[in-house]
Amino acid sequence: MNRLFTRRHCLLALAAPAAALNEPARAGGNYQFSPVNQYGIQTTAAYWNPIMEYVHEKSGVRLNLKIGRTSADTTAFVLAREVDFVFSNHLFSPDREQLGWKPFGRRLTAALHGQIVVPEDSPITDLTQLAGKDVVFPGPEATIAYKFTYAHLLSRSIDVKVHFGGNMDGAFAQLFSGRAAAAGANSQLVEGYTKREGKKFRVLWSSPALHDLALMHSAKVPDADVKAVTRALLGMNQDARGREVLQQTGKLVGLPADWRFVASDGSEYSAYRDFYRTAPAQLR
Amino acid sequence: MPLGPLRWPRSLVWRVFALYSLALFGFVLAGLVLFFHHQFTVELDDTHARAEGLVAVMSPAISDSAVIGDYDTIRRTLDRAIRHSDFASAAFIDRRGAVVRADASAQTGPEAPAWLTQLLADRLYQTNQTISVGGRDYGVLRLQFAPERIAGALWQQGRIALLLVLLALAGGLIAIHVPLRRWLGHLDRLQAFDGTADQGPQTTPSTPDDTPLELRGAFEALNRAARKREAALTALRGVLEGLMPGVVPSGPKGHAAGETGGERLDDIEAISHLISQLTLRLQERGAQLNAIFALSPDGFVSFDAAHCVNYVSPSFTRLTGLADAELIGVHEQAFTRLLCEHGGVRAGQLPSLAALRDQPAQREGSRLLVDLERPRRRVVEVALRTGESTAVSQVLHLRDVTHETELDQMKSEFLSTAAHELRTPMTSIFGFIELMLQRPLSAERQREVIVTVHRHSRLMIAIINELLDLARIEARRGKDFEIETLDLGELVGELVRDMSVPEGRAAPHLELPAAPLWVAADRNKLRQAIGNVLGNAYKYSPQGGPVAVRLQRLPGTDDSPRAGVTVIDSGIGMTPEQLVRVGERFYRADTSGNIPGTGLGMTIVKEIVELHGGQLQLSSTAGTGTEVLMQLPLAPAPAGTTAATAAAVMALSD
Repeated sequence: MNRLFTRRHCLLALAAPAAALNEPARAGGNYQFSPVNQYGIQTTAAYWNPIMEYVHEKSGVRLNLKIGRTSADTTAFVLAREVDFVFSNHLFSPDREQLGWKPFGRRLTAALHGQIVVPEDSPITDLTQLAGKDVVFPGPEATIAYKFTYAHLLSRSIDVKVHFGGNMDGAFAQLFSGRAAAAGANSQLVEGYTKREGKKFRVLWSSPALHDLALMHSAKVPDADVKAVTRALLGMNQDARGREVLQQTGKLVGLPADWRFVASDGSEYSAYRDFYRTAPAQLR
Repeated sequence: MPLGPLRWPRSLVWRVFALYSLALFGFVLAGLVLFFHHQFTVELDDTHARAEGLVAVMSPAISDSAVIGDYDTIRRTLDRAIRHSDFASAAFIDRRGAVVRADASAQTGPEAPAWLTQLLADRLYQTNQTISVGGRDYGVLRLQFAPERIAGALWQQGRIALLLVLLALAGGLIAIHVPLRRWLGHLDRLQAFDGTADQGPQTTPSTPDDTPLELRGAFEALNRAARKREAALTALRGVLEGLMPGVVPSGPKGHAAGETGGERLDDIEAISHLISQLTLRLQERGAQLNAIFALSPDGFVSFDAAHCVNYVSPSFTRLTGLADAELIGVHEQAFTRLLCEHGGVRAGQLPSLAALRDQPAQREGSRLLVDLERPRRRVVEVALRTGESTAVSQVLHLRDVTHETELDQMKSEFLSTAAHELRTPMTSIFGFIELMLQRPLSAERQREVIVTVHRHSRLMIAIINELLDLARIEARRGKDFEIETLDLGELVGELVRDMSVPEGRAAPHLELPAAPLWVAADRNKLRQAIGNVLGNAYKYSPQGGPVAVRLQRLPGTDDSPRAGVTVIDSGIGMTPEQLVRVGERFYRADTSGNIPGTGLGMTIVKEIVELHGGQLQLSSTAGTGTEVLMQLPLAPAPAGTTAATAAAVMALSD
């Protein structure tokens, strides 16, 4: 059942970009929503499609899912002005904050950490052992999994060979296949992968706590629609149908049972903004 | 319509070939599908990898050009990048939304089916690369795939692979068919085994050198099986020869006697036929024996090698009352005990079977007679026959000799009685003659003695005559009767008229019907019988009294008219006990000796009446008199009788 469900919604996700490509934000509550591809296309689509359906039922605003093959595609869609809503933490750099995207909510989960992990049975127990070795990351746009972790490696002057897996699942696949000695990861995705796939990790380093990704809208979306979408998402945990959707989707990607969306004014992401102020130039 | 079951070729070569072809085709098809799936997946990954590689190569140039706003260079870079590539277009989208696009030339390669193109299109994603320099985003580099080109290349690969597969398949089928026909196509050599096997176990067929190892083993196994078969047939022939001598020929190629020509005995079917015939014969023989034993009045009990009962004939059960269920499996000692207890045999009368078996010489010429009290009184002759068979070691034979014994006893009694009856007058004759020899007698006394001797001699002659008469009647059983159709009324009238009644007695009162009663009879024998009855009527009424003779037509028991001659006296009569013994030889109702007689008269009467198809009936009351009725069947009137007489006879018959 879950498999069929996943495939059906995946098709929705794949069909949507072709139909809505290059369409501007329009009246009538029909928008493009691009979440960062954290789990791979099919899992990401299976996670977001029920939520988008719920939002449409509750708010009348239709959000068409637009997923890229890699986590960097969402940022590309933003820069190409092809999407109206995103679920991302890629837009807190000083330059991108000028694009006019504003957070209106965030996913309330346990604090996130950028982590450098190895398989539990790996002989590597210290970051210094990674010198000269292959380390895989989801993509160059992955703020927590790449930018935070690689910045730390640079700060420790540990020279590693950087590889990108496209998304977090792709990076984990390279890690456990032996093509990479370690992976830069998002702690939430590490836990979810362990729950889904039964793979266990050894954490070599963790960043300070960070908030989960933000729900953001572009400046061109009317306030009424933003508010309608915000009400629908933030009220999911107060509605039986919403709670059911939260449980189903959270279980799918390994989130805690009590996860939900909460309001955000963007102030929670100061740690990200601070990072960009101090990060090496190549990671800004 | 439902498909019928798969029909394989009848030829082993074609069957193996078909199996091989199916297996080869299945594996090749599966391999082709797997190959194509693999190629499809690899092509997808490679295409994405090429896109990423291309984007990585293009990014520095695009970044530099974007920083300085040289969009012409960006366009040329995009044009060069997608020339002769799998991409439909390449575009740079700046932050303001402006687009620099380069489209690939029209497709010139092979065309792929629409389904394959669509399949690829669903799985190919555009490749985006953010163009960022120094923390500032300048735009997005985007590559759009041309799925029809990739599909065309894949389709071309698939067609080439399919062609190669078909060629390989055809070559493989040819390569397998030729050696198959060479190696398996000569299995008709197996027929040689059949032929050589028929020639006897000494002939061993050779196995060709090029026979495959697996078939070589089969050939050798066939050879061994043929030898075993011949040995088994030989043994079976021996058994059959023992069971049916003369039916089974000795040679392996013989023919069964009585079978049609060409039917070989060394054929399993023929031997099976013989065995079935033998079984049938045995069944018939068994049925015959069962019928014989069932119908035989003699009883048989057979014993096995352990001297336990294994068969009880129905007659044995009838004679002794012992059912086979009680006796089967019983040892001979217990059997003897059961027989004695159940039959009420006196102790010591029936020796043990072991004693009978161990003393054959003493039993020769003598008979062992045993009196059975139950289920009815019988005398049985017991004999034990021993044999050599393991199935039947001995047979006990019981024959009912009750009647025979009674006859012997009756003969003995008859001889004893006859001798006694003859001795009485003979003793008198002997005594008087001896008296005359020892002393002289006066003439008067001598005459009295001679008269007495004469009277006793006459009695002896009468006894002897009647004995001879009775013996003749019984021996001839009426064959010497001179049968004629006579009027019974006329015969009775003549008899009464000719009869000399005792002195002082009145002649019999005669009652005759008006019409004649015709009977088929020996006139003299009938006169003798009626005369005997009339004589007895006068003898057994010594105090006098009338004697009557009545002739009448009787209806008969089966509605056939009969003639009845009734003699009625008023004499001493008989008790019921005496009445039932009338007819026994030498039996006389008078035990005083005052009434002369031989005791054979009524026996002769009974024999004569019954030999004429008639019946003798007596009724009597002691002290009152006796009435004797002789019934005879009526006969048609003889030809030549007068019309009146015939009419009278017809009237009587109706």
